[in-house]
Amino acid sequence: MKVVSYSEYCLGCGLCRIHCAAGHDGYNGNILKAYKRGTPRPRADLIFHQDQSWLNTCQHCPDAPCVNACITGALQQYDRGVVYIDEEICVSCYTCIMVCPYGHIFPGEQAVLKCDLCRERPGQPACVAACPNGALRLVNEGETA
Amino acid sequence: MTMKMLTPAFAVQRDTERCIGCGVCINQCINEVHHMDEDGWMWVDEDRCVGCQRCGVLCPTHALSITEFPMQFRGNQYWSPSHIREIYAQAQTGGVLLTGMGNPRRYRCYFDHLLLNASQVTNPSIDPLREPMELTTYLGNKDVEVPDREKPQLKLKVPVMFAAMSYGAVSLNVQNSLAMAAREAGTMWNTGEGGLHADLREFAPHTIVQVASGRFGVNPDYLGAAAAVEIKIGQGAKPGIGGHLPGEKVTPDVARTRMIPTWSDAISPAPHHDIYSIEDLAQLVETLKVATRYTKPISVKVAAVHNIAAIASGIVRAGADIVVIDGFRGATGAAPLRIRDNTGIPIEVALAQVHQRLLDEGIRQRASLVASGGIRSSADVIKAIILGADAVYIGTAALIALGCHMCQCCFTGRCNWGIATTDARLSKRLNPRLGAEMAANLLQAWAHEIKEMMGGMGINSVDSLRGNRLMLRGVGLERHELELLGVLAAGE
Amino acid sequence: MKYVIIGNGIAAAGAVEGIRSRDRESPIAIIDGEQRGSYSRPLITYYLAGKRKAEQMHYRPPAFFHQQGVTVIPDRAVKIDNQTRQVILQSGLVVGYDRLLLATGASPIIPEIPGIRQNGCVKTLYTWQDAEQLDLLVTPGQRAVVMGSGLIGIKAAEALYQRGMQVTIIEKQTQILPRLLSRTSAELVKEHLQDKGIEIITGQEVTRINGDNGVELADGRRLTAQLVIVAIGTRPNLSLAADCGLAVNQGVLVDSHLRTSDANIFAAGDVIETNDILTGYPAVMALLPLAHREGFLAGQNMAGAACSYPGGLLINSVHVLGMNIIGAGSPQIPGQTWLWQQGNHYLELVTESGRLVRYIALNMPQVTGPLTSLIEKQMEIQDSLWQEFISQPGLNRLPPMYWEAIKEVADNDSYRCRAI
Repeated sequence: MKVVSYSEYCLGCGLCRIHCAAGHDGYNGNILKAYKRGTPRPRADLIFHQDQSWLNTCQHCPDAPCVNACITGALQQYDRGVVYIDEEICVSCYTCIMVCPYGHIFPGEQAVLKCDLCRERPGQPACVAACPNGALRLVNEGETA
Repeated sequence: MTMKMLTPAFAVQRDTERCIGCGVCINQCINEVHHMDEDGWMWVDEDRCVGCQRCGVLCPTHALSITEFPMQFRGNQYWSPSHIREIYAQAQTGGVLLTGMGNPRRYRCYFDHLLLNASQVTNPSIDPLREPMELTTYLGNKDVEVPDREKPQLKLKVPVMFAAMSYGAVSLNVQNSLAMAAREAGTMWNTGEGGLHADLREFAPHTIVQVASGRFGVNPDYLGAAAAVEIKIGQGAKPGIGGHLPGEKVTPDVARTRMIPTWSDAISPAPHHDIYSIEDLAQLVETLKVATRYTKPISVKVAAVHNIAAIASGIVRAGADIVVIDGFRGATGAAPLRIRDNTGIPIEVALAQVHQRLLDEGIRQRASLVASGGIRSSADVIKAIILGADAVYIGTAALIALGCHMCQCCFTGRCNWGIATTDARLSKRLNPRLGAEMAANLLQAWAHEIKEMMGGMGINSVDSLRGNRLMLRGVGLERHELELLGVLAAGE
Repeated sequence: MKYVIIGNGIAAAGAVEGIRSRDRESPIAIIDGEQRGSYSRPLITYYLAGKRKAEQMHYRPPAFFHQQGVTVIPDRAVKIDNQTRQVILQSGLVVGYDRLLLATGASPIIPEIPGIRQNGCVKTLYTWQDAEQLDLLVTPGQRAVVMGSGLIGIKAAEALYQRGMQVTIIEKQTQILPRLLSRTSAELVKEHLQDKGIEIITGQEVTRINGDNGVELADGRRLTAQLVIVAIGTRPNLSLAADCGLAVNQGVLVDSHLRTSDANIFAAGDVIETNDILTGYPAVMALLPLAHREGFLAGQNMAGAACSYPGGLLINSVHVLGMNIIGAGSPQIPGQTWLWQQGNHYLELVTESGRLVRYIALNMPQVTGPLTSLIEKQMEIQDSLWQEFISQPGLNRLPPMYWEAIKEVADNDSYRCRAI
């Protein structure tokens, strides 16, 4: 499972990253509280390249390099191939950041930040739900339609 | 430069308690209204705002509201703000005022003065959830004296089609959305006068192709890749005026589809230069019938003008299988403001008159009648059908379903909603997958409502509704208006 | 099939995962000479600094081995009899195998310096046990000398510093972190450490260690020190392999399937000599990600697969006192250098005919993943694009062909918006 970004319909608006940030760190999706009171940190960012843009989010690679490289075992790939970080175990050594070909994983003080497909959120990941133009889609392994 | 005399048309109000400085407003406004300095200070250039509301809709915290600028002109019942504004603009530019979309002025809307009947006691109403309701409509010549092979029919599962909007005036994603929705709903979309893009050939059974005065994109393949061919004589937004697609919108892809040079102005002449009479029109109709081997109905679209009944009669006699009447509320990508706001007649009156005239002349069965121009809801659809239409076209309503916010800036090519533009950065703002879903949803919703209203009247087939003017009563109308519409007054 | 793994480090954990991806049934035994379970070696400096508790040291949770059907034998292997396919343990126990994995790791090098073995104040920091012992010796305010400024040396110095000791690093080479950093970048890191209060002496060797009084340097200087950490490098633990006749060089020699000269014995992790994929030269690369990878592939091959291992890339990420240092590639390959610096952010690239062969990133981790990938892919990129990238390094400035190559994956499962 992963979120696929279709650059042909990406508006570059960045709502995905705003909703991502507000969806984590205990803000429970409350954007105002996250941005006015807290330090919201998105788990994915937009890439702008020439006239194109897309959400650069975790591909949850099969045989993920970050999981292989993790020095603490904080990064683990569970069933359905989703790569999670156990923020309690991570020591922020950034080895995973160094080996992620997409540059997906974000530096953090106590632990690195990465997409967890909003596993505590009912329904779709926050980014997918927030995209106003259907440019993000949650796809399962092997699914193409 | 002289003083510009004007305050901004719109005020952009930002609630700083809510603004999180995310920059969505900045990156979504092609008119560059919103700005953020390097130190995070946000400011707006309200003179550039066209009131499209893109920023306000996408703002994740609803921190923005776009309102009319509070400082209006000194009150005057005769010199309205728009008159004054337009004079200032013309004094600056010396040019014809251009605009987009349909006539927004306060003319009487007859749809809003007509009420539907319902069954009580003496006849039963029908519950559309329990009983089948027939909306299927066939457009074409139904004259029993004409052999069947010479009167092909267009089958519509719902009597609502998408009106002509050309690639160039709207983006390919708009056409793609409407084509997909038409296929889904079992109705038709219309290419407008801009050719048929290769990507959309697969929708041929749901496509009406247009032949207009510029003949853009017309070739045997084009005529072949359609269910019907429509000759456009005129349109409600600008009767008597041709079309002008500015060169900036003629991208290589648009140019290829229209078969014209890239970045050149695409000018559709006001008249067809080979049609100066009904007899000339008959020749073109016959030519197209021969070119399509009598397999497709030929439609003729005209604007609703003063003499519309006689014109429509001539069109039917010229051999058209479908006559489209486009009322004065019809919209466009670009029109001179004075023409749009002051030319043509209301579709309700035109429709009633044309229907009656064709009945009186005994030729109503020779052509289907399509009403167009300002159809806003399923109620308008059903009233149009009662006034004599077989089906309707919706253009503005379809675009609103795709996100249009009626800012009337279509002619600039800088449509923030990605609709009336060929700029790739903007046109990608409409994902055809979502667009198709929304447009198809609209048709589905209207179909349900039409069935509800029909059921209430005790009618289970749209055929029984057509021209059935006893189902309407007028309220607040003068006697002569009731007569023109062919309806009784409420209470009669 | 009976699998036996000697060593219980990262390669062993990888091997268990590799074996179990193909063989869910057969018994696996791990001979755990260190007897501390599967812990993550890089965490020992975090442990020493007091940032990790004992229960947070596991690389795989204790239940992992049980769940995978692995028997962990807390004992040290003393001999391999590859004729009878048996491993003889210190306790006298004999463990038979069908497939054996040597994952015996490495040990710190102790140089022959007068006084080094006689003094209780001289310690290494390589095992969890080392860290525990050091923990007892740390006394705030006292001075510690760290010999060597490699990754272990730097992290040891950081830990001792954070525990309140006065720290001096002595490096034989003329710069710190010589395998990781260039001269320019090493200078920046050195300044950073000195600003924080760590003393750094480069181009000097310790020539004698004098009990509690400290160390003597080659230039005759004497430094008082209550604690001396030896961190000048490691070397593979080869004795088990060499004793049973396996081919060894700097490390145990393996083929591309990580098989040693004995068909039933595989080797992985810090003990092997492998290929530097960039230079093509054999090298001992004691890096955690490589150990896991090698273990995982060797495990699969032990279970009958034929996965080949191309070798590794020298790559490292280390944090020291608030500065993040990431470097990858080969210092040996000469090429064109591209530099960018803004405040304490620094990026250095080395390209050779358009191909990235090395990078060093200080305090800018975000771009390093794609850069690592560019080294691995050896994608040829025009100088003008490198120039554009280095003018303001960031993901948005990566060469377009990189994104195209990386997006191919995504495009493969893209869909056309044609039907609802």
